[in-house]
Amino acid sequence: MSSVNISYLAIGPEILLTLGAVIVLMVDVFRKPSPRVHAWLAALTLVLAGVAVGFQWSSATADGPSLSFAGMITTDTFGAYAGFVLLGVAALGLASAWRMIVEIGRRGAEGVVLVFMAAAGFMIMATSVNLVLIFVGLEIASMSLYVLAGITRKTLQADEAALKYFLLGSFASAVFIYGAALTFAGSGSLSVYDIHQFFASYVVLKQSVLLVGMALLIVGVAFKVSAAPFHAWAPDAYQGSPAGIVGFMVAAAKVGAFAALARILIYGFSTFSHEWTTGLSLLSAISIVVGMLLAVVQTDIRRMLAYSSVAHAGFILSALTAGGAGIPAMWFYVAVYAVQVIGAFTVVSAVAGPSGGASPLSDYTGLAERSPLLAGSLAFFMVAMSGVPLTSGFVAKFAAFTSAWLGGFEWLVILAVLASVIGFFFYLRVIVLMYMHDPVAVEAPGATRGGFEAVGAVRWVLIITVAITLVFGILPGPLLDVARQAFPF
Amino acid sequence: MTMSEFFIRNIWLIILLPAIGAVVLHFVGRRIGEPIAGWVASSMIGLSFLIGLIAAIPLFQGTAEAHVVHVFDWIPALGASAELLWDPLSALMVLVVSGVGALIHIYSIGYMHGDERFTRFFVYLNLFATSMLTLVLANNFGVLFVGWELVGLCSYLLISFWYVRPSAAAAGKKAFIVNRIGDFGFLIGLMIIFSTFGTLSYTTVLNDPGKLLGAGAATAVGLLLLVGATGKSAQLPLYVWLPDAMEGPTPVSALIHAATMVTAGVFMIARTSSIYALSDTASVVVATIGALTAFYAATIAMAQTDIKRILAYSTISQLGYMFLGVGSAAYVAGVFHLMTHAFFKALLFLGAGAVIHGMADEQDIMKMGGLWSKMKTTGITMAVATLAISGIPPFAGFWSKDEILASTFGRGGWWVVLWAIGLITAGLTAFYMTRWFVLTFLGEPRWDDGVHPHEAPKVMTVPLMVLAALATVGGLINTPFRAGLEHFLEPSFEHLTSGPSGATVWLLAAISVVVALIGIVVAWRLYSRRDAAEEAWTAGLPSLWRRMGHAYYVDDVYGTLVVAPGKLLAAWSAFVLDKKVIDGAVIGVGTVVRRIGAALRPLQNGFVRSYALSIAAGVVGLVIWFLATGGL
Amino acid sequence: MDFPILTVLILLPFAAAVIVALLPSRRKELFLPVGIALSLLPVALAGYLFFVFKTGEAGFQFVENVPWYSPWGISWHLGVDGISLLMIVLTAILMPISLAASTSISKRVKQFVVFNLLLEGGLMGVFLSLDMFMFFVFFEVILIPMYFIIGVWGSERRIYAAVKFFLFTAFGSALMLAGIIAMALMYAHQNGGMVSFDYLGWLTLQMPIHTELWLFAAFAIAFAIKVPMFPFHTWLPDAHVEAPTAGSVMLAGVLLKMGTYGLLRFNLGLFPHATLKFVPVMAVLAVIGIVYGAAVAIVQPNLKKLVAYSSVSHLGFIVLGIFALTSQGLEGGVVQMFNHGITTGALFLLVGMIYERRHTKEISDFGGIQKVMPIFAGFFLFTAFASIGLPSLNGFIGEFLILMGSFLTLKWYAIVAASGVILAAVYLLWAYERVFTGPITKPENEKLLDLDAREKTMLGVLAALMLLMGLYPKIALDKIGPSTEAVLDRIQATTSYQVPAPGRLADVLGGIGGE
Repeated sequence: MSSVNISYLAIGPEILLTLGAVIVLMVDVFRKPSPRVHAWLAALTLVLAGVAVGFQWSSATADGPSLSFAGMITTDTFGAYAGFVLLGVAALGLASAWRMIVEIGRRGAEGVVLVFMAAAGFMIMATSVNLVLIFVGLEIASMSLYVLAGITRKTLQADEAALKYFLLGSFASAVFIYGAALTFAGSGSLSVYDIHQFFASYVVLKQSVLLVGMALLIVGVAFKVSAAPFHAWAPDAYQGSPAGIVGFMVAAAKVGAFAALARILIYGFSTFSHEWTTGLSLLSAISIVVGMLLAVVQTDIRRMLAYSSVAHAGFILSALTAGGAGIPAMWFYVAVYAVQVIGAFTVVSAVAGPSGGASPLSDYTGLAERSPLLAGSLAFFMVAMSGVPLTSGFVAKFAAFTSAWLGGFEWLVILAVLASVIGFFFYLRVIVLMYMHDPVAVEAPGATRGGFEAVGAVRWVLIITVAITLVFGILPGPLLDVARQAFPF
Repeated sequence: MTMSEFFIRNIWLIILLPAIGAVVLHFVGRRIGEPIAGWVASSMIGLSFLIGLIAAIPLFQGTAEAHVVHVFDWIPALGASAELLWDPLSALMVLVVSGVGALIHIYSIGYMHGDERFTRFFVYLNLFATSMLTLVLANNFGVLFVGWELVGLCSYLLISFWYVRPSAAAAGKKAFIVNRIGDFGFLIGLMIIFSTFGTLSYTTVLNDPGKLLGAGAATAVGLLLLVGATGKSAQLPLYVWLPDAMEGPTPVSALIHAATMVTAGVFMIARTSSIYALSDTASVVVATIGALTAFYAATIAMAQTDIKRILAYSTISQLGYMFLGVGSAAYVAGVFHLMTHAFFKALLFLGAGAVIHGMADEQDIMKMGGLWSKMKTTGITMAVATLAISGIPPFAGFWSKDEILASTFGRGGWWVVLWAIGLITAGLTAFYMTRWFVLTFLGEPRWDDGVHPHEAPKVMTVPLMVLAALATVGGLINTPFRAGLEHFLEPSFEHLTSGPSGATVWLLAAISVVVALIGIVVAWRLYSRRDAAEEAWTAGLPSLWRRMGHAYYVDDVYGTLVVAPGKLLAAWSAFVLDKKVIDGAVIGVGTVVRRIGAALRPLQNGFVRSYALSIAAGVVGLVIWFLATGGL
Repeated sequence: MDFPILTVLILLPFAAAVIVALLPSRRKELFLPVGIALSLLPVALAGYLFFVFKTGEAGFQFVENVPWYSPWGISWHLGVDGISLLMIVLTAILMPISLAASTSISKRVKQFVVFNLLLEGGLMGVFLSLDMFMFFVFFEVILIPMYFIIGVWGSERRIYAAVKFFLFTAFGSALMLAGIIAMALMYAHQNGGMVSFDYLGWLTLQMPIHTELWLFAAFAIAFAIKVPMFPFHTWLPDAHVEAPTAGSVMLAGVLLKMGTYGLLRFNLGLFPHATLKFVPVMAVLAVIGIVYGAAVAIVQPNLKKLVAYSSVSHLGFIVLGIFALTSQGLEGGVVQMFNHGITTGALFLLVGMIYERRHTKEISDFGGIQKVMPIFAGFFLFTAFASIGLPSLNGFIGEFLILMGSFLTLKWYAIVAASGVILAAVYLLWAYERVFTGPITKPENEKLLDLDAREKTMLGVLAALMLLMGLYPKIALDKIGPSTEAVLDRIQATTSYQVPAPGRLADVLGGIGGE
C-alpha cells in the first residue's frame, strides 16, 4: 500500500468544510453580508459534508475499509461515524452560538470558519491511521479551538483562558509528538497498520521504548478529552470562553480525540492491550473521582460542567478498558454526551448572555418561574448527565459499565456507580436552585444579563437536543446498532 | 326442623343482631334519638338472649351434643375460619352475657338520660355485646382473639366515653395498653399452639391435646394463656387498669368491668381446660395467682372510700376466686361463681349507679349515709347483693364461693393453704361489703348541702329488682343437693375434680359461713355507730391503712420502674441514637465528600506552571506504570 | 395476541400525564379534576384485572413479551402474579385519593398532577416488569417525580428532605445496577454469549455461593434502603415530614413496598442459597426495626414523624415475614404490604387534613379536638386501631400471619416482634389521647371545621377496605397463596431447605424448654 492512491472520497468532508470556510471568509470580506447569509452558507456546507460522509459510510459498509494517500487515510465506518457526529456537533454548536456570532459582528464569520476548521481537524484525527497525520489533525483542531476560546476578545478572562488553553495544549501536543517519535524508534513506522504488522511479525524484546511511546501518545490525547490528571485547563477554559461555543469545544474534542485514542491503542498496540487497558482503567478511575469530587464544590455552573466533563471522560475511558468490545459503548456515549453538553451550554449561554463570562449558580435561582423552557431543558440535561433511566445518559453509562465489567474491571464499575451517586448531588443542586427556590429579585445580576428568553436558534437547539436525549434514552436501539457497525478493525 | 335446631344451625344470629344494632345506630342513631335508640339497642341484645335461650333448650334437656357452625373461611393458612361452637359452656356464657347485658342496656336508658352522646353510648354497648358474644361462641383461637381484642376496644371506648375528662381518656388508654401486655403473652401462646397443631381450631386443638403437646409445651401454653387472662381479668400483676376503669359510666362498670368482659380470662381458662389438665404447674400457678389476687384486692377494698372503687377491687378479688376455682380444676365451680358474680356484682354496680344518680354524682361514701329511707328499692336490693357477695346462704354467692373453697380444700397439700387464703378473704369480703353498705345506706346522713337524694326511675329500678331476684335464687341451680349446673356443663369439661363430699362439705360450708358472719358483725359494730369515725379504730394501724387506701402505691411503683425508664429509653433512641449516631453517620459521609473536594480545590490555582506540572506528573506516573506492568 | 392489559396499565398514567401537561395553562381549575378523573381509569382497569386474575394459579398471568433491544437481551416483558397483583391494585387506588387530597396545592398545580401521574406509571412498571433492565429503569425513574413532589411542594426543610431521599435511594440502586450488569453477563457466559435481562431466564443461573452472597447483598442493600430497614431508615422521617400529603401517601403507601417486593421477588427468587445464609441478618434487622421504630415513634412530638416511624416498625414485620421462609410468613408479608399501604395512607391523609386546618403537625398544638371534629376523630381512631392490628381490621391479618409463620422458623425473633403489638398501642393511643381528648386548651382549635364530603369519601373508601380486608381477607389470600408457595417451592427445590410444616412437635419444643 505504498502506492499513493488519491481518493477524494476519503477526504471529501474535510475538503468541503475547508471550502466552506474559505467561501464564508471571502463573502465576508467582499460583501459584508448580513449574518443570515453566513448561516445559509454554513448550513449548505454542513449538508454537503454530511452527504460526503454518507458516501464514505456506504462505501465502507459495501466494500470494507479502504486505505488511500499512501496508507495514511482510511475510509471506514469508524471514521464515518466520527464524521457524522462531528458535523452534527458543529451544526448544533453553530446554532447555539449563533447569537454570539451575530453579536461580535465583523468577526462573526471567523467564528463559523474556526468551527469548520476544528471539525475538519478532528475528522482528520478520526480518519487518519498515521501518527503524524493524526498530530496534524490534532493541531489544526486545537489551533481553531484556542482562537475560538478567545474570540469575543471582550473580557480579560476570555483572553487568559485562551492563552492558558494554548500553552497547555502545546505542551500536550509536544508530549504526543514525542510519543509518536518513540513509537517510530521502537517499531520503525508511524502507521498504525504497520505498527500492528510489526507486532504481528516480530517478537519484541525491548518493549520499554514502545511502552513509553504509547504512554506519551495516550497522554497527548487524554489531554484533549480533559481526563484527569490532564484536565486542569478545562475549568478555566470553559469558564473563560464564550458560553455559546464551549459546548462545541467540549463535544468535538471528545469525538476526535477518542476516535484517535481507540484507533491507536486497539489496532496499533493490540499486543499491549493488557498494559493499556489497565492504564486506561487508572485514568478512568482518577478522572471519575476527581471530576465528581471537584464538581461538588463548584459555585459556577461552567466550572461544574467542566469537572462533570472530566468525569464523563472517565466514564468513556471505562468503556475502552474492554478493548474493541468497548467501541460501541464509547461511540454511543460520545455521541449522546456531545448532544447533552451542547444543550446544557446552550442554556448557560442563554442565561449568562451568549458571550458572557462567569455563570454563578446563583443566576439559576428560581429559573423555572422565569423561563420554563430553559429550566426544563437544563434540568433534563442534568438528569441525563447524572444517568437517570429513560435518558440517553443512562443507556450510555449502562453500556460503558457493561463493557468495563466485560473487560474484567469490576472494581472500576463499582467505583463508577458509587461516584455517580456523588454526581447526583451536584446535578440535582442545579434543579433544586431552578425549581425549589423562589426566583431572585429582578435587580439581581442573573436577571439583568442574558434575559433568559430562549429565542430563535437557541429554542430549536434545545428542542432538538432534548428530543435526541429522550429518544435515545427510550429507544437506544438504532444508534447502538450504528455504533456497533462503526467498529471495522 | 324445630326452632331450636334452626337457631343452633344459625347460631351466628346471636352475634349478628347486636352488630346490626350497632351499625344502624351508628348511622341513623342521631335521627332516632333518645330514648328510642336505647330501646333499639336493648331489644337487639334481648333478641340475642331469646335466641340463646331457645337454642339452649336441647342442651338443658341433654338431648343435643355440642354443635360446631362453620360460617366462612377467614384466614385459611392458619386454620382460623369463622366457626362457632354451641355447647353447654358457651350456651351458659351467652345467656349470662346477653341476659345481664340486656338488663344493663335497659338500665342505661335511664342512667344515660340527657347525655349528649346518648346514641353513641348504645352503639358502643351493642358493639360490646357483639364482641363478647363472639368471644364466648368462638370455636377457634383466632375468632376467640377477635372477640378478646374487640371487647378490649369497647372497654377502651366506654371507659373514656366522657373523653373531655383527661382522667377518663387516660384510664381508657391504660386499660387497653395493660391488656395488650397480657395479649403479648396470649399471642405467644397461640404461636406455640399453631406451630404444634398447625391450626387454631378448637376441634383439633382441644380434643386430647396431649397427643401433640408435650408437658413442657403444655406448661408454656398454659402460663402464656394465663398472662393474657391476668390482663383481661385484672389479676396480679396486671390488675392496675380496672380501678381506673371506674372513670367510665357506671352501667359500663357493671356490664364490662364486673359481669362480663373481665370474666373472659376465667372463661378462656375453662374453655382450654384440656390443656391445663396436661400441666399441674400451670394449674397451680393459676390457682395461686387467683388466691393471692383475691386476698390482696380485698385488703385494698377495705380502705377505699369511693363507692365504685370498693366494688372495683371487690371485682378483682372475686375474679381471684374464679381463678382459684378453674385453677383447682373445679371448672364448674369457677364458671358457677362467674355466673352468680355476674348477678350480684352487676346489681351492686347498678345500685351504686342509682346512688350516684340520686346523690348528684357524689361518689364518696363518707359523704353518704342514711339513704335507706330515701331510696328504698335500691337499699333493699343492695342489702341482698351484699349478703350474696358476703356468702351468706341461701344467696347465690354462698353456693358458688363455697364450692370453689371446698374443691380447693379437697385437693390437699399446697391447696389447703390456698383454701385458707380464700377463707380469710371471705371474711374480708364480708367486712368491706358491710362497711360499704352501712356507710352508704345507714347511719346519719353526711351529704353535702344541696344534695337531695331521690330514688331512680323505674327503667333503672326494675333491672335492679330482676338482678336482686337472680342474686337470691341464682345459686340454687347448683347445690350439693342438686348439682344441676355441674350436670349441665359436664360435656364441656374433661377431668373435672369433684370436691369432697359428705360431712366435709357441711363442715367447710359452716366454717366459711361463720367467717363471713364474723366479717359482717365486725364491720357492723364499727360503722353503724352514730359517730362512725374510721380514724377511731384505724388509729392503731395508720400506715398500713394508708397503704391499703392507696392500693399499696403499686401504680407509682409501675410508673417509676416501667413507664419512666421506658419513656427515657425511647427518648434516648429517638433524639440521640437516631438523630446523632445513625443519621449523623449518614450526614458524615456527605461532609467527608465535600471536605475532600474542598481539599483538592487548591490544585486548581489558575497557574499554568502548576497545571503543566500535574500533566508532567501524570506522564511520569503512566510511564512508570507501563514499565512496571509491561516489564522492560 | 389479546388486549395488552398490563402495558395499558403502565402507559395509561403516562398518557394521562401528557394529557394534563397539554391542558391550557390558563385553565388552572381543570388540572386537578382532570388528573383525578384520568387516574380513575387505572383503578377500573386494576379492579378488572383483580377479578379476571385466575385464583389458585402460581405463575405469571397476562404475560406480554416484546423485544426492546435484542442485542442486549432487553425486552418489554410484563406479567402479574399473586405477589404483584395487590401492589397494582394498591397503586391504582391510592393515586386518585392522594390527588383528591391535594386541593390545597396552589403553586404549579399542573406540574404537580403530572409528576404524580408519572409516579403512578413508574410504580406500575416496577411491579409488572419481568425484565430486570426494565425493572431497574422504572425503579430508578420513580425517584425523579417523587424528588420533585417533595422538593417543590413540601414544607420548610423540603429541599434537604428531597435530596436526602434521592441520594439514599440512588446509592442503593447504584449497587444494584452493578449487580444487574454482573448477572446479565453471567447469563451470557452460561448461555453461549447471549445476554439477557429476563427474570425468568435468570432463575436458571448457576453460581458459586460467594458470588451469590455478593449479588444478594447488592440487591438487598438497594431494597433495604427503600423499605427502609434499620439502620437505613433515617431518610424516611425527613421525607415524610416535609412531603405534601399526596407525597406521603404514595411514599408510605406504595414506594416503600418496592423494597419489600424486591426482597421477596428478587432476593428470594434469584439467590435462594444466599437467602438462607442471610436470614439471621435480615431477621435481626427486621426485629430491631419493629421494636426500635415503635419505640422512637412513642416520643415523637410531630404527628407525621410518628406515623413515619410507625412505618419503619410495620415494614419490619413484613421483612420478618418474608425471611421466615414459611407459607404463612410470606402470605402475611404480602397481604401486609397491601394493608399497610391502605392504613398508613389513611393516617397520612388524616394528618394532612388537620394540617390544612391548623398548619401544624405538632401534637402539643392540639388537644380535645374530638369535641369540634367528632367525625375526623372517629376516622382517626378507626385507622389507628387498624394500624395497631385490631382483629377484624386489616392490620391484624398480616401481622397475625407473620407472627404465626415466623414462629415456625425464627422462634425468638417472632417472640420479640410480638412485643411490637404493645408498643403500637402505646404510641398511637397516647397520640390520640393528646390530640383529641381532654378539654380544648388552645383557642385556635375551638373553631376547627369537621370533615367535608370530599374528605369523608376518601377516608370512607379506605375505611371500607380496612374492614373488608379484616373480615374477609380470603379474597386476597387465595390469590397470594399459590405465588408465595411457588417462591418457597423454588427455594426447597434448589437448596436443602425444608419449609417447616406446622403441626410437628419437633418444631415447637426447641426454644420453649419442654422435656
